[in-house]
Amino acid sequence: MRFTDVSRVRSRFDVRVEARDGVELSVDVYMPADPGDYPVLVTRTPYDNNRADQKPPASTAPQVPSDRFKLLAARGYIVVAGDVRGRGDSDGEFEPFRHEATDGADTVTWARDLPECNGRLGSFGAGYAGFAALAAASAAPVDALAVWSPFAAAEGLPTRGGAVRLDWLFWMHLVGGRVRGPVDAPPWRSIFRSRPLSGMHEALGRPDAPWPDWLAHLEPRDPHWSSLTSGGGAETNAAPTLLVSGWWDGGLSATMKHWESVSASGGRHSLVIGPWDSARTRRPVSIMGGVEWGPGSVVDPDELLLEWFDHHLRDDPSPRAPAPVRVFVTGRNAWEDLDRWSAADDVETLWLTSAGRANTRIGDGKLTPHAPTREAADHFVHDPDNPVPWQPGHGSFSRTGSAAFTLETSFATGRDDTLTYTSATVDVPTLVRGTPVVHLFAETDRDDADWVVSLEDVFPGETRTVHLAHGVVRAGSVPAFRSGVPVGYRIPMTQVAHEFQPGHALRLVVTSSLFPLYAVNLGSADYLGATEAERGSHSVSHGPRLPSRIELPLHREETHDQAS
Amino acid sequence: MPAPQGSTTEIRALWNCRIPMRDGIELAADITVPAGDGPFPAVVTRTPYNRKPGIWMQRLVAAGYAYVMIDMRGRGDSDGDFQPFVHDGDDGYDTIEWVAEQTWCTGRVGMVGLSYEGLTQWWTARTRPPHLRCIAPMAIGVADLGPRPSFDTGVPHLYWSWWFHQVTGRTQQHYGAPSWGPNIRHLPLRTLHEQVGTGGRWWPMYVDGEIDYLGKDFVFGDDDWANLDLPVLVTVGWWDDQSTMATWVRLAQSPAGARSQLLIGAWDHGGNRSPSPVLGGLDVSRSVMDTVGHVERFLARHLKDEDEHADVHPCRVFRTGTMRWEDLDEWPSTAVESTHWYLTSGGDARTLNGNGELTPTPGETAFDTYVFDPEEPARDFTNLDLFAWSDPPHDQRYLLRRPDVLVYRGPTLEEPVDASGRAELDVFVSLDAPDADVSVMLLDVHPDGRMMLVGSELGSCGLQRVSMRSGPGSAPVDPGEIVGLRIPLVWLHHTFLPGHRIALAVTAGAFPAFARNLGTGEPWADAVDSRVVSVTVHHGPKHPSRLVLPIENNKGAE
Repeated sequence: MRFTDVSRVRSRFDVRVEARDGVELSVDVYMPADPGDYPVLVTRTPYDNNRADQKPPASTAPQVPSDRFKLLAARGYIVVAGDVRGRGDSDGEFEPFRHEATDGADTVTWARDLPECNGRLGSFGAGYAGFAALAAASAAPVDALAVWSPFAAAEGLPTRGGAVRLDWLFWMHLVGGRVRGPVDAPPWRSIFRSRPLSGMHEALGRPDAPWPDWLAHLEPRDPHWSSLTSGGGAETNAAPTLLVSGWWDGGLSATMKHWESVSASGGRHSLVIGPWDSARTRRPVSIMGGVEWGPGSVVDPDELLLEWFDHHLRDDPSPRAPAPVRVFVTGRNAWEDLDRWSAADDVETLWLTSAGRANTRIGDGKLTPHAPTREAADHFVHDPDNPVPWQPGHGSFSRTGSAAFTLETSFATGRDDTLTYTSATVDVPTLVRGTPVVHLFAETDRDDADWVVSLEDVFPGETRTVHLAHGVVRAGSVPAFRSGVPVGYRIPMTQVAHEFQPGHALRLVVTSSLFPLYAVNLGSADYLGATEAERGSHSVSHGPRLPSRIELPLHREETHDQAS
Repeated sequence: MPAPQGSTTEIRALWNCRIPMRDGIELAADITVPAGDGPFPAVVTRTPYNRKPGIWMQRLVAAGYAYVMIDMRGRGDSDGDFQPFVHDGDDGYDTIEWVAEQTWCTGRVGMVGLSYEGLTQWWTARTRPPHLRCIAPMAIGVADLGPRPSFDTGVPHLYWSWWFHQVTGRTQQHYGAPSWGPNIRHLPLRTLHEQVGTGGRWWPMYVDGEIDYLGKDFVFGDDDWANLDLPVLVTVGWWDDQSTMATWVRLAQSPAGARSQLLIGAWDHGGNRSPSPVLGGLDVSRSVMDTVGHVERFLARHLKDEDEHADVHPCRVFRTGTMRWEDLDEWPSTAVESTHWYLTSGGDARTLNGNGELTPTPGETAFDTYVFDPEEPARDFTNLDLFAWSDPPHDQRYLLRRPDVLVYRGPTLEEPVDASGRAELDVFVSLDAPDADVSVMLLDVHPDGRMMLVGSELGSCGLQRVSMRSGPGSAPVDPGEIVGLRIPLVWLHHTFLPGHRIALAVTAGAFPAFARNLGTGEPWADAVDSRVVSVTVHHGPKHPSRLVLPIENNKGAE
């Protein structure tokens, strides 16, 4: 911990920057105490550049944006912190993603002309602001980028595996005007259960939200998404880029996708993935999801950002170049430096099997290293009025940012509509690092269904289970889908770097809902418009003919090195 | 009465709903109504601080009201231009009448809110919208404070530079973001906003006198009071906006008085919505109450005709000292007599160790002198990053050790002294310079030595710029000329207990909430030079400087 005196930082609030079309954007400028020549850091947010939030408890990191900006200024940077067009104090109309490349470029150009700018610029941001930083860099190059969980606007936002992510409705409430919407005020539980799905914005009380427009483009490759933005892709961002996310961060997949393309483009980039959800990715704490990850897991995001920009923007770069890939291996609970986020040494396949009663965590479902020889299936009833909850209690998205967030899953796996398949205990530390992929043969008697798979670590004696990753596919989004017959689905999960310790077991959980992460599938061919729900009779098949299985990216040698 | 814990009641909402004003400008509203069949009585808040429904929404919707929270013109999501402290009664009128017409509304509308949100209630009430049934402004006053000079005390209020920062742009700016510390001494004051880097739209208007909270253009006039006939619930704390008490006095005499109510507790500005059990250095836990519930009962009477509490006394006032709530028919009591405590000394009342006293009769002719250096002003605990509008009952001894503070203490009391109303100070001063400020604290000296403020508002009561003693317009003094000042001090409802002592402290300013007096007599906006000033307080038969304390004369000792 070093002491930084922020009391003499010079600041200017609501400075007006004119965009190329004449619209005035508002920025706050923070400068080091004494006049001089400094590198400039630009960030642009839709979440109010000078908000005074209620502070989350147990946070070690700065608590309001100005705390961070003052810290960066005190450490030798000019910070230009803007409200994006149509938000906060900026004029114009907020059209998500549309103007960030050009407005960002105009802001960067303006910042370059600041009298105390030494000609070197960086850009940073998280979530939407991360997208905005990347988009601006595609139109006006900067010397370095530091981005937390960037929104991937060009790749389709509202779905994963064809299932609608309800957190985007939450987001539309947050940005539903110029100022931040009161996110804790709406009765989310009943809103997220309202029907039809396409009218959920009306149940929320935001009839003007772009929700129906977004839902009209569920396919990620729909040109609608790439047309939203002229920037934000990786190909044009040659500047050294720091990317940060967390294993339970809703932006993990988008971050990894961006990493794939940016690292393929060459150059000095860096990826950091910690044991965090979305809130903790931005403000890490050592206890997350009810698990103590150890004080070593905590990374001060400001020091991380400063280390990155000091290295790339200062004349006296720090001697230590950041590792290209730095991931926190859960289970082992230690950071690991890698040259690249790589394919596995080996893919180990574990096969789903049971005697037909895999329901609940005390069912007979198993994950076995050998392909089963007998055909069998497990059955459950999907009740749209009683979906499997993502979190205990009523769970809204604001709760995922709260201390109540838990990775323990036993509250759900006692339900009869959860199928669980558990491996034998491992006898050596077993590292799974990469993207697990589930091949699932599943059947519904309805006209649509969601298939949700979750990977868990089962502690010895089942004293605890820890959720590691999940994947989802909506049957109706798959061309091969037909009602009443088993259909094979390939379901990539979220990325993991987890070491199962001796005595622990792997568990795959299969359900047909994960609420409210995903909208409840009512089983109708009219996914968006249905208002009536009927129970669905669902089954998962396994055996030689319908080989449901999970492919795990294993890293044996590394594991043994660590274990020796 | 226990408060409902949170709310599991389902609500229906419409966020960022647009309400048209008569000139076509649209204001943004969050509208929340209870589940079930309406219509419901409605409660409205109009705010410059970005609408956040919060506790009012939870409590009022659960209690069966529609709750409507609105960004004022030019703020948050509302269109148009914001003008601080300019009456926006027309917007209030149009809003209330729009709400009353909605299908979910019974046509009965009330208003709630704290501070500026209280001011917007007074302004709306002044336009008398037919469907507005009652208002419940917390911690804000609109009374003309009488022959007071501009800026209330005559001393430029640096607090406003902080407040103007908050309302820079459309959003509510985080108050702690600028670097106040190294900039708050900047001179000339005309360019303070440039030095701090914020508030540029408003500070120059303040410097030019165009924005003058509690100036004559911004308060209720005689006609406004004469026309006010709807019930008002006034809520305020003792370490809070003191103009609210003056406002209650005026309200009680108006046509609305008979149906209006007063609540004063031992809290500061923020405490009006959630009183704290400890304030400054005092245990005020007996003052903790559900103030939102108190407002709810007032609203129920006037919006729902629920009259079960119709027999309540109009005034519920917390007596500090004895620390008890009192239900009163009037406040302040008219059964008081003014008692006088005369300043006297052996010629050096400086500091805690000086020989200043308060005596029932004037002492011999004498004087005390302190030297004020504007470069080294006494300053209070005000945390510049927070700059909260209050100065809780801290033990003031940390200030009273300075040689530029005069301290006068009365005898140890054998009987309780029940004070009620507003204390005042008659004081005779002379200067060796054209100008200086005089600031006065009324203190309760506890048996253990603590010297506690009995009430305050960031030093703005008991503060007077000598050159502004007769109202707006500078009237410098001649060196050595003795001038008499009558300085209003705090409002109080306080018992000085046996074993305690009454005390006064006199010094030369209330920095950093208020600007320093630079002593040169130069116009304050452009002055940069300062000089050291000797301030002499005269006392004795010829110049009877004295504390005037309203004492309840029909109250025996407890």
